[in-house]
Amino acid sequence: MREFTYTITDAHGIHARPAGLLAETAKRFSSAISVLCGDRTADGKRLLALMSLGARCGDALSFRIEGADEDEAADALLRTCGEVI
Amino acid sequence: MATQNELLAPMDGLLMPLREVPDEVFATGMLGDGFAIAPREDAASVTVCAPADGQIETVADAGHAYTLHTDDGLELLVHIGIDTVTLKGAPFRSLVSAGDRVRAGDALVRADLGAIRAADLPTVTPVLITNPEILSDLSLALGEAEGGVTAAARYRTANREKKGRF
Repeated sequence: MREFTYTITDAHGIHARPAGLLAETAKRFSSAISVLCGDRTADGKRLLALMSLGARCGDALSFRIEGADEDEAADALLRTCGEVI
Repeated sequence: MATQNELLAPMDGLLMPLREVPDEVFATGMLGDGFAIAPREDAASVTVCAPADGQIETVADAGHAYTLHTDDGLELLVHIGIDTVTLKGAPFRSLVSAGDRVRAGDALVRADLGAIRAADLPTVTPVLITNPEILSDLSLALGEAEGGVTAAARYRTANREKKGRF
């Protein structure tokens, strides 16, 4: 399992566009990907689930990635985080 | 057994393909499959309604985006205008909350189109199916539509239960 934490710097938090781009990145991998924010957990491959985290600027997101391609997935997700949130 | 269903236009306006949305992320289908609708240019405001029966999953803090889990398994995103998150809610008066059940045609939000135009942002509204993998077929209508009345999209869903057994 790979884990990393990313703190949101985008002023608008996880709104539709970044949620979609994160899910799109996550869907490229077979690993199970969950994203935790506070006491909420979302399937990283579902745009709606990511939006329902209600994550705002300054919130820390914890990514948990488990599967055959977890290393590649973690690298790609961290890169996407840096680009969109 | 596949079932055929439809999504209603969420407002009065002109239905168009996603690729005509002036935003690459929406236009390329990266966030999902679907359609867009441009409200009438002479409309100062518009009521945006639910395209299908289901449950509201999220209402964005900025009031500009609504997600809906339809009763037949679609995950829908109705995004009013482009980059309207930056308006911090000013043009939008939400009429629903997360968890609410809605019927197709029920009002979701009242949007002040003049305020969106004044901020120099597009009012075109994408309606996305964010889990297009459950579709086996999707056909779109184009042209003039009446909100809550005109079928903007017809689709079939693949039989997920059957797939799940394999």
